[in-house]
Amino acid sequence: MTAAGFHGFEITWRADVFSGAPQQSSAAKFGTLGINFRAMKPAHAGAGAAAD
Amino acid sequence: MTIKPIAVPDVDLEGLRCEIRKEYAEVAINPSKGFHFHTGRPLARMLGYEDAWLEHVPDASIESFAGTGNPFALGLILPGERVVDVGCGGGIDSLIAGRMAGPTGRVVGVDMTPEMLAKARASAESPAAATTSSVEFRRGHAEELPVEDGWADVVISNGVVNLCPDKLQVLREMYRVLRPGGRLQIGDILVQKPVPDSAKRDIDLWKG
Repeated sequence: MTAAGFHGFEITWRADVFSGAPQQSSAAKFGTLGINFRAMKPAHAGAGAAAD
Repeated sequence: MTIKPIAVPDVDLEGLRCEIRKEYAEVAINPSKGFHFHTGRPLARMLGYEDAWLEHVPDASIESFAGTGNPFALGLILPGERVVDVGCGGGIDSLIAGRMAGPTGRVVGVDMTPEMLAKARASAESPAAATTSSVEFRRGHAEELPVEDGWADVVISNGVVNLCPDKLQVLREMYRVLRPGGRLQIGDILVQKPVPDSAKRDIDLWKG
């Protein structure tokens, strides 16, 4: 997130959103969780600009 | 502070996009088929979508919902705001955002799957969603959004960033289309265990 220029990154929620789905997920072995996250683009030009 | 470069997985991008399009075309056309993820209204309820938000979203869009989080749990869209919905699918989040933004707001939903876009456009034009006339849908990729610089007050997305190998490029595009001070509200997937490089090249794992 920082490399893209964002600040204020925060994960606000996480939960198992795949259990009980009709088909078994092959990615479940990696411990996949649903999440909500937020971040902000800095208000002032140049602050936290996207890194190359 | 030194920022560690983020490695982009060595996966066939066009092959991956093709397989993802096939999968989500199925979600659009045959949503009750049964997938490795939950779908539809039960999923929306599980993720905390309020009934009032769904009241003006046509069933066709709700049944093809396949998100992994809830962008609106991070904050509501304010009247008059401009929103980009990255990977809008059948349009549920775009239509909810359009309703929140009201007649002076605008929403652009972007997706790469034609079947999903057709569904989203049909829903936006239906009488049930008549007040969301400010919502439009464009075909495109998350890594190259068809939206001008600094246009959006808010970028939302739900269950899409995880499907893109070059996540930094996706985030840079989201940054580009946001105005200074704009906000990102994303539902997605977190992986708790390390994923080996061999698995990152496995297209079946990306879509399932």
